[in-house]
Amino acid sequence: MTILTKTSDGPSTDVPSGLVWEIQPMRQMPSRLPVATSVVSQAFQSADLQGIRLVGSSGVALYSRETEGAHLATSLDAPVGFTVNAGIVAGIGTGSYSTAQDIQSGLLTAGRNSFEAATWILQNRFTPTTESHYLRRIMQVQLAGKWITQGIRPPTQACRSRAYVVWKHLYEQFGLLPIRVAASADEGVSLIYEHSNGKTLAVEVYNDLEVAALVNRGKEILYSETIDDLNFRPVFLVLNV
Amino acid sequence: MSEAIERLQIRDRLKLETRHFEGEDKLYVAFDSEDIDALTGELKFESIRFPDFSCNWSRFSEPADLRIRPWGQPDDGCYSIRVSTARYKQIATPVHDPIQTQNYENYAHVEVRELLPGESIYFEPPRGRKSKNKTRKNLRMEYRQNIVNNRMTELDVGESASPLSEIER
Repeated sequence: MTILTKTSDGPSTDVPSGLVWEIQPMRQMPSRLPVATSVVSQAFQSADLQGIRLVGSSGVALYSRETEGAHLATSLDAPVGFTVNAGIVAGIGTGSYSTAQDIQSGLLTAGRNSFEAATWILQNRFTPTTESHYLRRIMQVQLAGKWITQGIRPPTQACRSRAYVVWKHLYEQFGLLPIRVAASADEGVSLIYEHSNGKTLAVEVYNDLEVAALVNRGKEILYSETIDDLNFRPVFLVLNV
Repeated sequence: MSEAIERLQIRDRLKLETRHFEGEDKLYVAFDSEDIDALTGELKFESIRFPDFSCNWSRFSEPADLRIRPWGQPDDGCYSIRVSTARYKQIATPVHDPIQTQNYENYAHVEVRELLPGESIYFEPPRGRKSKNKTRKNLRMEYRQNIVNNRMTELDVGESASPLSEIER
């Protein structure tokens, strides 16, 4: 049985870098997963693996980058599987999953009580290098030294995390990617977008975790508003129209 | 003595009131290469500090005088905004704030400070005020963007100007 597949190109055992591997249940027996575990272990050792997502059925993530403290299954020999901390896979054991019941057990531990698992395949169905790239940029933005000496506080960790959530929302909902990610002199993180129609969108996430957005064209401010509950739809309409 | 240093000396001159600012007066603001987008050459919106940002009043100074402030660099750039821009939507107003220390005097120094809703542009807000009101966040963004939209470059980073030449001599 080929356990590692590519969604579009057929079977492969390559481990490209920068991937988030997606593990998906096969709909048929057999019920062992030694190779998958091994491949994932290799991936951790040799590639720039960003995380692992388990999918129970199409499009339903059981574990994702947002999942915390998930732990999957045990082997016959020793605890195996992987843990996910703050969305980043922290490690993976060696060994093999033996039965669907093991997997089911792991899922139950993680609070999922229904899953028609038989065995699993690994698929590189998505490669969120974009996510990891911008996560890194947001986490690494630095406030200019001249502002720090003037008493302005750099973005906090919570602010950066919130900024990533905002970035991801704008990316996933509207397909927007910023042309600039920076620390703001107003104590937060700035995401600057440029539309092909000449309008710019500035989104700022502040250290108090509030969010505001502004749309500008040339010398004209078209829209500015504080943002609640990630509701960027009015902003996007102004930007896009 | 440098003309710039002499120009900025207080020399018993009085601090002026907010009502003395004319809408067309310029306020000179320093910037450096970090404040400029390398791709577009535009001033970065996020690099504008507000409130309590410092500038020099054009009535009493030249653009390059900013370069001799204690924390300034000899190649600093300078842009200007009108006082009317600094009073955008009555969010803030310029306050004359002469500096006098042992080693540095600057009669032209101005601090742009935040106004609260209902306060007149002729009111003098206290230093260090920063409204935490949620609805002010987007107004502060507007204020900063309006500066980007209406600023005029007086000196580019590294551009030669007479006060710099005097310092170098």
